[in-house]
Amino acid sequence: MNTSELINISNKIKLEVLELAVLKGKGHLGGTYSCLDLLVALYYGDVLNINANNFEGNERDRFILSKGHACLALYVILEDLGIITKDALNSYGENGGLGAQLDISVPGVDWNTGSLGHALGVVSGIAMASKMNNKSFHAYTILGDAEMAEGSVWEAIAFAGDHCISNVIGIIDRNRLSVTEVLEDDGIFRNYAAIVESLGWVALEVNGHDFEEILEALDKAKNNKKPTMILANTVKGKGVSFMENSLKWHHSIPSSKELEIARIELSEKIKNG
Amino acid sequence: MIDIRDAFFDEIYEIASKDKNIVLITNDMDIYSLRQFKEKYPDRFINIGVAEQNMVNVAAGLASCGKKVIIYGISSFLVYRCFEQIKFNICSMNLPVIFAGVGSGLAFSFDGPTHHGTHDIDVLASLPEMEILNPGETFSAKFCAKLAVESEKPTFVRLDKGPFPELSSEKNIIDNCFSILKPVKKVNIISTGSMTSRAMKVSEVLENKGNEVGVVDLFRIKTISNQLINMIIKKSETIFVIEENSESSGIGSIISNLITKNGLSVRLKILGLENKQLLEYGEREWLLNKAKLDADSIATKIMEENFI
Repeated sequence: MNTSELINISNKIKLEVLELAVLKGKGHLGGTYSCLDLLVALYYGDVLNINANNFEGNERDRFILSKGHACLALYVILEDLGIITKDALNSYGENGGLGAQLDISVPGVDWNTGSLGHALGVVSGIAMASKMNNKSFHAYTILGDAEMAEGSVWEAIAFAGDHCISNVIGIIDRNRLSVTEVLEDDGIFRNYAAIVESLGWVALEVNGHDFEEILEALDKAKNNKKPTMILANTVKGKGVSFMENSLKWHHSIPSSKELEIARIELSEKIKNG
Repeated sequence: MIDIRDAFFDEIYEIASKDKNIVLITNDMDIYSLRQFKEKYPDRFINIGVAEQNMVNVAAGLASCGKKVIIYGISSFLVYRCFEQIKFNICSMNLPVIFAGVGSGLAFSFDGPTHHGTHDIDVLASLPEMEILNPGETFSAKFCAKLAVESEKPTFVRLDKGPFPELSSEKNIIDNCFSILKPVKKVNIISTGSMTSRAMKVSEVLENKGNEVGVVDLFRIKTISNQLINMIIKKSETIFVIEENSESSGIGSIISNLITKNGLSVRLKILGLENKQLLEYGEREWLLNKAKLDADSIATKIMEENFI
């Protein structure tokens, strides 16, 4: 799939996410849009070998959306890929329907989510099992940038580096906003690449909305002899002008007026794509 | 007598020789029987270092791909430091990971409440998916190793350390849950873990004074077999629970719940440790004596309550 096709898919998913979030009054649009191009690259860019025919199998890649509050994008993708039904997707936000976090009762979901800082250790174990079982699959996770403050993430980084678990691929959605704060280039982000590399990883950095860069990095990551962490610089709320880089859109739902503006913006992009 | 940890891990070693999916992970803990595992199966032994949270998460990942993972560490660090990892990545995913936690009761008597395993049972019992095993003699330690490996649920094995006797056998074990070590009488002792050999001593003290009590070693403390109700509780006038756990959060509470839930009429007395973080250091026996959990004090208590 070429770049313009991926951009078009991304915008279509954004529009569908928007409509569902507004219809059900639930969603974390800012952080969903910031990682949406990463998800599109993984699922449509010939990266994850996961599809409607093999998602229940043992040979395929594994993926954990550690920032599970961005689940709505994944639900839309899983429906588009034919892994979950339209009815299931439309149950989002209903009593007994799809929730605001992922769980493994949903086809195509590899891990429960809801608490941060766990997934990198888990994918390290999964990737280790892949090697132990002489399989060739990779284990991926998308982490939020605020999540990088969790100590267990760093236990996992040290572990996967020490054990050279080369089939672990982490992607940090560096949207620079937590729930309440701007996350500057301080702490680990002051010297991210050096820190991660000193712990035995390959550190890459990309524009998280540039498919060529994302796919090139993922291609490298697959072939690295060490685990790979990709710092993806993203924009919270990417794709809808008034949502971009705004703390308000961590979990706000657009008013009818805002919905109309967002709809027009995304529809224009889709039409022009 | 052998170290109860070796009894458990020797059995694991045997199972691992046939089951290539067994993987052992530890946070830098050692014991003789682990060394033979490490030497024989280096590819299935991971010393993850002092990083317990990651140890549990890695175990979850391995288990999700079909590995049978046994985690070995100090019990209190597994339970308390990793509680969310256990709840979230092991239990909510219902992965059959085995936790071999060493240090039940006051096994680490000189190390203070960070190391004591006196309050962990109700913490673990709060995890709906978790099975809890608590062997107190070497036969049940081996038996629990088999049970844990065969289980399709997460299982926490509360292990003691040091030499323990062999008190049970296949024929004493009822429903993979408890051993009847002395036949059921009107007054019966239910004990678990380290207190089982003590319960046997208590029964001898009482016998020497002409009073007979039954002794039951409850080694699967969750989920409890209905046979405990039918064969022991319903047949008892009085049950003494003897345990090296907080008297408010050990097997006494579990049995108390069982009695009330089933509307049974039986007198229950719990002899355990006071509900506090014990900031006293000394030999285990010294601490237990202070808590009046030595065999003579327990026997006297039972005498006073029942036979005078």
